[in-house]
Amino acid sequence: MAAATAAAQVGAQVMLVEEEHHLGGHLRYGDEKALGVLAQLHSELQAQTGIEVLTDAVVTGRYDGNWIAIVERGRPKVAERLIKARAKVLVVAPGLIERPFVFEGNDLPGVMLSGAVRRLINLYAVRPGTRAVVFSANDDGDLAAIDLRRVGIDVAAVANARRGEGIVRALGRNRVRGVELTNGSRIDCDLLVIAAGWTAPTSLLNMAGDQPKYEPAAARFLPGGNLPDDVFAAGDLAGDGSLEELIAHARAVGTAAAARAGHGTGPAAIPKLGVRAAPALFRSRTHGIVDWCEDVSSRDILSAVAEGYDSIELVKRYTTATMGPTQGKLETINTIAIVAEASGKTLDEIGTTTWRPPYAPITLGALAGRPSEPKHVSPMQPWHEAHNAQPLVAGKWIRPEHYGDPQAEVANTRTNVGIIDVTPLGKYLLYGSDTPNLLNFLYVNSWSELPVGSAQYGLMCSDDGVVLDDGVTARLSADEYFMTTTSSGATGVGEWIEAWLQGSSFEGRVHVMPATDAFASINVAGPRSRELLSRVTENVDLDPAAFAYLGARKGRVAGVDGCLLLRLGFTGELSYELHVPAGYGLYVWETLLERGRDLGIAPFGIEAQRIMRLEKGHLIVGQDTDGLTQAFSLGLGKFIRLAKPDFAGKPELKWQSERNNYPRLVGLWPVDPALVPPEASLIVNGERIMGRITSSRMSPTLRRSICMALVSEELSRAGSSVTVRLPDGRHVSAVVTERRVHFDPKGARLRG
Amino acid sequence: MAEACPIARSPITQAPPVVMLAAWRVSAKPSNGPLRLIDCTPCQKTFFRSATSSPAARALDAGRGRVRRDESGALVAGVGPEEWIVIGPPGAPLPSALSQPSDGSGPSAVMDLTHARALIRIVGADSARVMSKLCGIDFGDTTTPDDTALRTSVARLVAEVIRNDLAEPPAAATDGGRLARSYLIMCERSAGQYLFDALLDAGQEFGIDIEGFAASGSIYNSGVVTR
Repeated sequence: MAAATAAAQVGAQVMLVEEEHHLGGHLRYGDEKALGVLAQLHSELQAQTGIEVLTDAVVTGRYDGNWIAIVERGRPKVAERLIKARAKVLVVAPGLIERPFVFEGNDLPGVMLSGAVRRLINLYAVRPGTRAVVFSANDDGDLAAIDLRRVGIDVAAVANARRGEGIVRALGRNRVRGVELTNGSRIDCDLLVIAAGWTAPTSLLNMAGDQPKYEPAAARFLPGGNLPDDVFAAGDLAGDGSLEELIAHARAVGTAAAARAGHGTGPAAIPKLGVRAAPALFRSRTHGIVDWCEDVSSRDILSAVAEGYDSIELVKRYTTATMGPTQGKLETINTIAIVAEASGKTLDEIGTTTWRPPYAPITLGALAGRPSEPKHVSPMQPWHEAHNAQPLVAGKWIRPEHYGDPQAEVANTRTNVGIIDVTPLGKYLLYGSDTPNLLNFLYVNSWSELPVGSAQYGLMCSDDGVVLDDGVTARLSADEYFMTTTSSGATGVGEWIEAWLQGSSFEGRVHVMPATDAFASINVAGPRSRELLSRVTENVDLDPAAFAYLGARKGRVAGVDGCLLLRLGFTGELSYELHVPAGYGLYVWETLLERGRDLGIAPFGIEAQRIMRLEKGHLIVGQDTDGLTQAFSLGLGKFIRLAKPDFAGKPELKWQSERNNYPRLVGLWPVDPALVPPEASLIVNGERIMGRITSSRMSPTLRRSICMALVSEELSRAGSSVTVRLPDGRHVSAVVTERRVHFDPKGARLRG
Repeated sequence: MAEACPIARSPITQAPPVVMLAAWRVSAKPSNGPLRLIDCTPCQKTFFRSATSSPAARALDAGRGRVRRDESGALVAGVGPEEWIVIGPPGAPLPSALSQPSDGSGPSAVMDLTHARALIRIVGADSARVMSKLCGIDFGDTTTPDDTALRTSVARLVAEVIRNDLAEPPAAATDGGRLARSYLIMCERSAGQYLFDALLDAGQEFGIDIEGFAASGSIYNSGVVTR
C-alpha cells in the first residue's frame, strides 16, 4: 500500500493486487498500533488518484516483459477471470508466509499456526479452542498467546523456542488432546499454536530470473539480488525491520519504481533492510507431515534421500512434495531442510526447486475465458422466429428447418410459389481479368467461354480428386464474377481459394472478396415465381427468352438497388435466386410475401428444399458424398474437362476415369413405396457392404419413398436390385432407377 | 412496380424509440452513461484491396494498422496487408481516393461492405477493459494507441477493431474535453447481434448502456465516426 501510494503520488498509474478480500495483510489482525498504521495507509491510498485496487485477486505469474497474469475472483457479476496485464514495473510485496513445523501429529485438527489463531480471534471473533499450548519462536507466537488469554482461552503452557524449549508430538487421534514437550511433560489441551518461523514467497521474483539465497540468521530464503531493472521487492519479503522501517522502504521502492516507469524526478535511494535473527526450526525429533496437499511426510523424504534421490528436484518429483495446490508456499523450506538433514548438507547447498507459474491455483475455466459460441443468423431470422420456424443448427448458422409442415411446403411450391431463405449460401465476388483462369483451376469444368449475364454449375475437387464443394458462378460483367458455394463449405472454399492464390504457382490478377454476409439470399421457386417477380422487379426483362435458365442479371427488387438475380433450379422448379443487400433482406422478404399473397405464396424451409432437390436428383456435397468420393462417382462426367491444362484434382480424376470400377451415385426406389430407409442404411450383398443410402425421403410429389445411394459399380446399372439393411437388422429390397432424377427428368419446369 | 421506401435494418435489435435515418431503421435512445454501446451498422463501409503502390492506395495514405481521417472526415483504416476500410456517415459517396485511375500495378477491388458488416462502437473509459474480456489483444495505450487498426478475434469472431477516441459531447464531458476512449468493432453482419450481446454482457460490470445511433450524443460525434 505504501509503495503504491508513493508511486501514484509522482504520477504513475498503479494496479494494486491483493490476494485477500481486504488490503492490509497482517496489520488487519494486529494490535492497536498496527491498526492505526493500517488506517493511515488506507486513508493515504484512498486520497490518491491513479491506483486501481484489485482485491480477491492474485498474481499467478510473471513472464517476459513484465507480462503479468492475475486471477480475480468474486466480483459482482464476475465469478472469476484471468487478467493479462503488462506492467512497466512490477513491485512484489506479498509479505511472509508462516512456516509450519514438522512433528508427530502436526496434521491433527487443533494444530494451528499463530497467524491463523490471530485471524480467527481478531478478524472473525472465533475462539479456536479452550485450552492451548503455544510453541513460540518469535514475537508473533507471543502475541498469539496474549490474544488467546485476552479472549478467555486458557494458555496452559508456552514452549519458548528461543530458550531451547520445544514440542515433541501432538497427542490425540481425531483431534488434539494434548502435547508432549521436550522436557518430557505432557499437557492436556485442544489447541496447539505453532510459531516456528517464516517463509518468503519469492516466486514472482524467481520467475523474473532471481535466484533466492538462504539466510541462515533469519532461517529463510531472501531475494538473491539479481532482479531485472523492472522488478522490485518490498515489505517483509525484502528483509526485516520495524513497521516504520518497512513502510519507509516501501515508499522508497514505490518512488523508484515510478521513476523506472518514467514518472517523478528520478530514482530515490532505497534504504536497506536488515535481517532479524530467527531460530532454524524445521522438524522436531519426531516425524510428521511436510506437504499436506500431497500427504508427504518427513519419513517419505528421508526414504527418498536414502534411495538416492538426493537432489531437491528429484525429491520433489519422487515424493510430489511441493507439487500440490499450495505450490510450495508452506512446504518448500521444510522439504529442503529435511533433505539437508538427511544428506548432511546446508540448506543453501541443497537450494530450492524451480518456481514456475502459477503461484496460486487457477481453474481451467479462468484460463479458458468467457464462453463464446458465435451464432450466425440471416436478416430474415426475426421473421422466421415470429412465424414458428423450427430452428435448425446448420454449422454456425441457425436456419428455419420448416414452418410446421414441410410436405405441405413442397406441395405449395410445386403448385404455386414458395420462398426460402438461403442466406447462408457461401458467396464470393471475384474481380480481375484472370478470373476465368482461376475458376478453370478451381473447378473441374471449363469457364473460358462463360458469357456475361450467364451462370454455370461448378464442381470443385481437392488434390486427390475428392469432391470438395459445388455451386454456381455467374459472370456479372467482363471482369466481375459472383460465386456461390454450399452453405457448409463457404469458409473452407474461401481458405482453399486463398491457399491457391497465395501459395501456388497461380499468378493471376484476381481479387476474391467474401460476400456471404453482404447479401440476403432468397430463392423464389414455383410455377408462379416469374409472375411474382414481375410485380417487384425493375430493370430486368423476366421473359424466358430474355432471361433463360442459368441467366444472371443485376437489377432492382422491391425498390432495392444492387440486387442480383440468378435463374437456377435446385428445387427443380422455375426459380430465381435473389441476392439483395443484406440490410434490405427482411424488407424484400416481407414485400415478396405481401405481393405474392394472391399467388398462394408461402415460405418453405430446409426440409422442403431437401425433399424437392432429392425429387430432382440434385446432390448435396457432404451428404451424398464423403471423404473418398471422387468426381466421376457422381455421374457428372460431362462436366469434367480432363483436356484442360490443369486443375485441382486432375491427375487423380484422370486415373479414376481410366479405372471405371468406382462407386456410383444412383437413384433408388424401395420396392415397398411406403418404406423410407434411414439415411446411412447399408446396401449389402450377404455380408459384403456394397454401398449406402445417402439421402432418403417420402416424396409428396410422387407419393412414394425415393432415395439416392452410393453403390459399387456392379450394382449401379438401372434396374439392379439391391438389398438394404435397415438399422433394426431387417433386409429390404430396392431397385436402381434409370436416372437419379425422380421428377421432371427433362427439366421442363425449371427451364420453362 | 417500384416500392416506395425500402427499409434497411441492422442485424442488431434497436432499442426504442426507433426512427428512420438515411433509409435505416435505427434507435434514438439517448444515454449519458459513462460507457455506451452504439450500433453504427448504417455507416457507409467501403472495402478496398489493391497493391500498396497503386495510386488509390497512395491516395488513401493509411499504413497497415493505422487510421487517418480523409478530407471528408471519413476514417481510413489499414486493416490488413493491401486492405483498407473506409468508414463514413450513412450514404456517404465513394471516397475520392478510390476513383484514382489504375496504373496497371495490379487488380484492385472496391466493395461496399455496408450491408456485409455490423459496426459497433463502444465509448467510455472502461471500453478497453470490456474489449479485454473478449479479445486477447493488449489494449493499452502503448501497444494500441488512438488511431490503431487491426484484425483480430473478438468473442471468437473475426473482427476489425479500430481505436478511434472521441470528443465527448459537452453534457457528458467529465475531464475537461479529453478524448473518450472508444473502439469501433466490425464483424460479419450475420453475427452482429451475437457480438453486440457479447459486448453488452462483458460491459455489465462497468455499467454499460445502449445509446441509439440517432441519439443526440451520437449525432454530436459527427455521424458516430469522426471527432
